[in-house]
Amino acid sequence: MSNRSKKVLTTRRKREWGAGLLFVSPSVIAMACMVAYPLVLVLIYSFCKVALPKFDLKYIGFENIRKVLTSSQLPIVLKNTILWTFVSLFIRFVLGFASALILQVDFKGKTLFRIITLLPWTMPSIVAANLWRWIYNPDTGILNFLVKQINPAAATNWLGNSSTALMAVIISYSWMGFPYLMLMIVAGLQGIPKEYTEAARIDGANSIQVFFRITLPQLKGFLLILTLLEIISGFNSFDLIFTMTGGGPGVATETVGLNIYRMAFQNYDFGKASSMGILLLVLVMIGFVVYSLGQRRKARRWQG
Amino acid sequence: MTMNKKKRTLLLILVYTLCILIAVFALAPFVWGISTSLKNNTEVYSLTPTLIPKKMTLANYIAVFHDPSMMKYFRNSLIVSLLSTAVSMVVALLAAYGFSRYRFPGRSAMLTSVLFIRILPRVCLLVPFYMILAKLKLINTIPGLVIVYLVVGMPLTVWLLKGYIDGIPIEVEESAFVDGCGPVQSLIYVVVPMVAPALAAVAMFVFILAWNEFMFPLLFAKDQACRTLSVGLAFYIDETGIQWGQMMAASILMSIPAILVFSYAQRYIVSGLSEGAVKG
Amino acid sequence: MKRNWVKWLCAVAVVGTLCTGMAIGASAEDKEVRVWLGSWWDGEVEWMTQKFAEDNPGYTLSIELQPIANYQDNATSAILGGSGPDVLSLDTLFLPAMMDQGLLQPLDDFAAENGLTEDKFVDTVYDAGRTEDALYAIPYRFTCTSLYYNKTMFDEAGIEYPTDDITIDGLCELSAQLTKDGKYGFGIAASKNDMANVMTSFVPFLWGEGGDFVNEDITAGTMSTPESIEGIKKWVGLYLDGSVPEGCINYAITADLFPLAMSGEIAMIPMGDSNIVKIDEFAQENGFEWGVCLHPGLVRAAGWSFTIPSSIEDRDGAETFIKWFMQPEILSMNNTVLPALKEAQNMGKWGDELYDIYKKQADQCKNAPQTPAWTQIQLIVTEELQNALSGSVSCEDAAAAMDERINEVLG
Repeated sequence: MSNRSKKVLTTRRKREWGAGLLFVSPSVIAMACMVAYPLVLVLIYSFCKVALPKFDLKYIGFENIRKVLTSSQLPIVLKNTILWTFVSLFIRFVLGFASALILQVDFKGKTLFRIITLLPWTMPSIVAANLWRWIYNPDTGILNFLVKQINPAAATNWLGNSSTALMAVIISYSWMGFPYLMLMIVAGLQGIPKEYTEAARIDGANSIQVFFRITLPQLKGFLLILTLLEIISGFNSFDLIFTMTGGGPGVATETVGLNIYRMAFQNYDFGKASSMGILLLVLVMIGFVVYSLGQRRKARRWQG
Repeated sequence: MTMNKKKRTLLLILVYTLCILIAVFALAPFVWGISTSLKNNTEVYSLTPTLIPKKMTLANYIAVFHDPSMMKYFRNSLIVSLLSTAVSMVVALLAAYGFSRYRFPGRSAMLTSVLFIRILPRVCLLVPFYMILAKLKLINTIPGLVIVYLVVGMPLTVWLLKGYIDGIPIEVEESAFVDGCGPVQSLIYVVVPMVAPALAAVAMFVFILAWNEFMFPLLFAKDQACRTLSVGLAFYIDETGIQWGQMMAASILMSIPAILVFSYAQRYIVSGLSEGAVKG
Repeated sequence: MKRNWVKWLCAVAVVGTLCTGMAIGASAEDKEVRVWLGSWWDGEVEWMTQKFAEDNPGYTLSIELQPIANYQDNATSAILGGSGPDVLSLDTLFLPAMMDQGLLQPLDDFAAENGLTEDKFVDTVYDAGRTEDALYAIPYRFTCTSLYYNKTMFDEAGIEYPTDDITIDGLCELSAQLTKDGKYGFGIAASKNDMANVMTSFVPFLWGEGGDFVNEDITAGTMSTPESIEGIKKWVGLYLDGSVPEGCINYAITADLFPLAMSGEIAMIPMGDSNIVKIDEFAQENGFEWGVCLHPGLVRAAGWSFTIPSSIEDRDGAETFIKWFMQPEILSMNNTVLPALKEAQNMGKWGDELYDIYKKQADQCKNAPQTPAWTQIQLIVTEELQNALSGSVSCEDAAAAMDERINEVLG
């Protein structure tokens, strides 16, 4: 969008901001109704001891947060969560990009491929989690059965071995989640005007150069939002891990999302669970601020 | 699009190899699932896993079809998912357009708070959502679920659509404006066709979110009358173990509508390009 | 085409939201009694609803089945949100935390008035519903595990069948003897996603050696006592010696050990009353014979009870249902769960000799410590046991870690 036309439109639209508010009102109202209340509750609960069933509150200051931050398990839980989030994100991106790019080429069987790659997304997670757990089962699972045919020594206790458990769960999560990324990338790719890539090719760029110099930068904004949302959901998700290993063996697959679930619904400590949620919020906000500061500095450098 | 034959063959070889690798990865669990759904109880647990069942049986599928509750859950899931998709698409499109093309007080604050919905852990939302829905008398109703999915999906739907609209050149709307189109008309007739790929992607996302979601319908839509299929599947797991045969059969049947919706929506994702290009 | 579908979508959205989803109105005549039961009760819903209406004019029974997945969160949200059922069934494991949080109503007076006193029930399950202050739950189901064994595998190995007086050491020995040619003698459950199973698998060894989780007044952990460590060693030892499948560190009894046993891969496993009816199907298919005997050590007493959530103001419907269902004739009519009411245990299908072993096992049963911190203790013990199983720590160190963490929770 050229800067000049942006300015023209902005000036005109500035006068019509009432219309803008109207457009966003349904979503903002829904949000105010449904989300404002939980957000306020989470904020309040993090600083209180919450007694059920009436949710009686007793202010205890930073006690909850202190307990969370000084927990002996925190380092390993954080490490697991970061690995879980970023490694699976990487795998999903690789798979998603590969599939999306393949779909840009015209070849026989393209539609079939398109449908096959979307299949994992259609399986509800309760079924997928149990199915993958069964596949990884060292005694009755199909994976070890196949591996034993090739190399009996390689057949290991995938989910029960602390060195392989996290990776095994990450792979299942990637299987479930890559179609969604592929879809988003395909949609994003469609938004890149063909003229750009064609012009580049006429100028003599090969495919790899086109990909890195034209495609990726165009997709940047899109991908950034996706990445941010996926990182957040990686920190919060727990149901796959819960079904497959419950966080074990030991704490090998214990993540922040699982911890929050345990706090709230097994220990009934809503105060502590809320404080973990708040810590997460603060973490993301910090990341956000750091990122936008970096962006602004980069922009200033370009203009300066 | 000039590519000599050698290059094209190389490309095709690369494409097909990757294709097969990815397809095998995506399909393998499904193949195992289908194989399981065709086995009877005793063969499911056999120690030498077989791909083709020794005694193939359709009993599991028949049991699912004959189960009246399953059929009801299927109908409910369909209604909830389609409704959620429609509502989310409309609301998110309006919001994305408003955030993208207009400036108004509180804009950035509202935009950031939409994103923050995602940050709150699901677990922390369960009880407050329950209380709010109860106050609005929307517990055990389909609109209640629709609103939950609308709100939960907003970070993605609104931000993605907004990002997409941001990237669309303003010139076409300008000319429409000059021609006398109001904001709504320019939205519907000019922007929507250009946003079609993102819109379709967002629709698929919401559909799957509503179709597969377990925790929310479990808590908020308990009544037999509005229970969804994903919760129904959980009934195959009890203390005596997992009824694999029936669960897989039901799960596979359940994927079919999703696949159909995808095949339909795919067309919009791909066709968007030809409609959206801005001619000089 | 494209222009129209947007308008159409808007119309659908508006109309759809307005039309669908009207609240279900209950009949204004009868009093509706809402009862939550687990999904495995679906075969009983019809006769229960009918008979209840016959025996209790003016009331209708509305049974709402819930899946076991996330049962506790489900129940908790419903109660906190203010629309819980009149009668809520709870696994005894869920009781300590929920009682402590004030989510359930006291039932002492009700129980006394209706003769639902301890002597009529299996005492361990009844005890589980009590705190120092009051009785919060009346058990309708008792369940525990006995020892299942595969007669054919014993015959092939030339070993005598286990008998009711088998000891923990005897069990370990048999397990080692029967482990060969890719088959195993026994199985344990240590999966963190079903910690109740882990406890069921582990406690016979712990309690059988005289150890326990916490001391009498529940103020400190006692996992480092010589007896407890002995119990841990024997249980973990089965895994480290290889007499149980390698996957056991992530196995649950019903989901994983049961299928393996049914395929003839494991000679002995703990067997509960709900699975015992399914064995014959597999025995015929896979050609083996089987038997049960008492499980050595003390097994975990488990069960399900009726409770009245704190969100219920008018207890009349709830009390009517519980009173009605707790009659031995009615309770024994169900074909799904073994009754906790002693009289009902000898009526209907429960009088069958198949269930004799469980009635005997009821004397060799014990409750997990009655403390709201139980869920956390269960987690701590499971985690450290898994560490010991994986060989990364010794049993003594695992026990020490358990006590340290338990004391932190209790202290």
